[in-house]
Amino acid sequence: MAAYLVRRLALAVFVVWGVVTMVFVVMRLVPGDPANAFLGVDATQEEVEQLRERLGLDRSILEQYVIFLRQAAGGDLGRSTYFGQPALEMVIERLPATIRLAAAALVLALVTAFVLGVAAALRANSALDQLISVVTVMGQSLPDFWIGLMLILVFSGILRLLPTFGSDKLQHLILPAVTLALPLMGATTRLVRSGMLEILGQDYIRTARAKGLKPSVVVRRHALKNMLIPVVTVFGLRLGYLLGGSVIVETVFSWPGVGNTIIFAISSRDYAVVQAATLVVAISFVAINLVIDLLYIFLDPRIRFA
Amino acid sequence: MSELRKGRVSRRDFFKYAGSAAGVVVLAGCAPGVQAPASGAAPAVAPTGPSGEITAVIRQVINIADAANNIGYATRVVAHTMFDAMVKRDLAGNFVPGLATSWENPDPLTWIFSLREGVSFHNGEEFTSESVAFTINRILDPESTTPALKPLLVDIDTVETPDAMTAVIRTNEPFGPMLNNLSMLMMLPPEYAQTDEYLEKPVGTGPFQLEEWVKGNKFVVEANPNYWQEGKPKLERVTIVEVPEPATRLVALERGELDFVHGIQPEDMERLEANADVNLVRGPTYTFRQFLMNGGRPPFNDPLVRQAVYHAIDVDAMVNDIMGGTVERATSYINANVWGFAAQTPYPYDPDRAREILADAGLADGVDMELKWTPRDVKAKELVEFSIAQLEEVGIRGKSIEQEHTVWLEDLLALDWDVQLVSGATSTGDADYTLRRIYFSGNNRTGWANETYDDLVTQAARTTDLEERKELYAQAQKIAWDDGPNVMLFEDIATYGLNARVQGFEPWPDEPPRFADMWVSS
Repeated sequence: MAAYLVRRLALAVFVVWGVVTMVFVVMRLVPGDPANAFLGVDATQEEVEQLRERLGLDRSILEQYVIFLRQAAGGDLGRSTYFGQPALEMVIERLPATIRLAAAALVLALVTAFVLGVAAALRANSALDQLISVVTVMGQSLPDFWIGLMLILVFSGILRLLPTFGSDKLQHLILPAVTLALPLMGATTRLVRSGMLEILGQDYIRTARAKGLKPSVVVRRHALKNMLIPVVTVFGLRLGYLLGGSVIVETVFSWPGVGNTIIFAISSRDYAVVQAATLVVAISFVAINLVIDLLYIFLDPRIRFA
Repeated sequence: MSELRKGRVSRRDFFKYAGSAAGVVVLAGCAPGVQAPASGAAPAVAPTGPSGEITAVIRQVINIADAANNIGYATRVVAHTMFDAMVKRDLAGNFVPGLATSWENPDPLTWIFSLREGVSFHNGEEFTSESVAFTINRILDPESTTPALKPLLVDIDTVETPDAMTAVIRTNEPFGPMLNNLSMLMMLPPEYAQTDEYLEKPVGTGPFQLEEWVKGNKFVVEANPNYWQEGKPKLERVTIVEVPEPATRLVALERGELDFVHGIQPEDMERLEANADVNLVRGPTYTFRQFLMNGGRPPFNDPLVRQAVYHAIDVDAMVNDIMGGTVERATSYINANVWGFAAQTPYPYDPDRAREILADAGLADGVDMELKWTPRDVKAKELVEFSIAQLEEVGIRGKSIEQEHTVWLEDLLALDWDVQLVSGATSTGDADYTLRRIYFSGNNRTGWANETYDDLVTQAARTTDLEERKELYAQAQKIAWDDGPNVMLFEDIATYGLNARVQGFEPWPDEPPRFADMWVSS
């Protein structure tokens, strides 16, 4: 187990380094540079050159990369060209909002998916099952910007129940969380339903029923836990993506998360912020995957890592 | 009573911009105590002290709150909210006292400013002549890390501080735009501005002080209880939020979650005009849109080809059919609201004439060119497609090249284009900023070079006599209009959506809202 962990951590460091390096190089190969983006249409060539020099962009990519690594080793990822703030600080400031939204969406998706998935499995091929599958397919296939705008129109514009934007209060969380949860809820419900159907046909379930256990106990105690592994896998992957921030949902609801920051940084060629955000997202992604793998052991004691 | 009510507004057609409801708001806002019959709401009386708050969306993200290190729109909003300059401009474009109570220009190289006493920065530092010297030297220092305003002050030689309340600015050469450019220069607290904290939590002498700043999300200011100007600000707090999605902004404005939105989508105007809870205000701008032709390479290095283009494009059709009345046809190289503007005669749309000119240039078989544009500009695609179709008819075969904004900018500054669709603004409100900065051949921004033009704009910058400057700019604009690298298309009309409870708003041609003049009716 310990050896496994060490191996995984070493691999994680390698993955994170690879991702950050790739982003570093790609950002600099893409046409358009921070000095132009920053100074805008009124700039003269001379001013652009001066700024490029000040930002160190007149050096070769290799030189810039060595400087970047040296500073990064000391925890300094540079300052945002656009905001002047330390880039890492800027990304970390945004992380809580993204985590809050991701967590809310995950919980919402998980709870709904289990209720709907189990119900659909228990009443397979009934009208209820059909209805649930219509809802889940819609949740999965409607684009999130459209769902977001429709929710705003209905719940803010017409019914006047919920605010359109902001992030201070619990009410602010509802619409973006629902928007973000819908596609995930759709996918997971289908996963739960098919997993459930498979398990309900197993011998040990028949045995449990034969013992005279109540159907609810059969489902809760014997069936549910055994279909968690695929669900956890899907969730782990999804959580990683969500921590990168949902750009569309953050934009539609003006949610102050990481996704918004990344998009703005990319379009203004704010190298330091893009790099810092990539680093943070890559680390979260790798860490979550590790946790998920470890969770398998807990869920299914037969799984062992060597 | 404001300049508007006295009828002293010299800017072209100012009232035309401020549409029906807007006009009401504008007038209502002119004097504290004037009753505002806006949208049938109860009469509104300006409060005597700061009260109430508003939530506003401005046109861009606030990235730099250091008001002496950027002249972009968002920083100008911060500047007018939290800072003061020595000299201010009123709505009619006249220079009026700010942190300087008076000034004189005893000889063309010397400017003496008497400063306002008893003014302090939000952190308690006192405003003195040292603040003036520090603010200017911080920008002019060759090692400066905050040089963005240097082009506006580059002719300044020294700043002397004979006493705490007198600042003497000496220039190397006579400097025409001095007062105007100083009106852009916000005064900083010398001690605090040298700390790292300043960039995160800037302080000025202005009507509001910073309460909270979440970068890229919200910028919250509260009333400065010690503001030097009597009766301002009238609001207790202003929260500037970032709401990037236009549809969200629209619903939030209709619901009253937002009180002020700068920039209404053309397609939403009608809907808002029908809404009694929202006032739609149209205002002047300093902006313009143009096709910039590269005078440094074929085919547009030939003035005849440029003239053919002037005649080949139906600008009026663009203004009316594509832009749907959100713009006005441009009649010079700068916006009509900019100081120094001189109207020129628009080129008639005349494809036959364009073909003749091309034939005279020996190009009867036509020419090929590339037209670069960026989708960030409103309706850019439509404008480009329309123009390419029209140019094709006279034999100028264009290829449309859509570029991401940053890439487009890089090409623009590198002069790597035949034609570009460009959106620009004379940010300082003074002709010098655009006419000299962009078209003076030494700055190498357009590939176009005209010696007489260069001399005129240089001479204008070296003249402190306003009338003489104006005359020189008029001549320069005529040359540019006849020979220059542009097809000038139109000037934008600014649009603002206001909750009906918001009073006192006046649209300024430089566009940043002056929150210090606004208040809310209860």
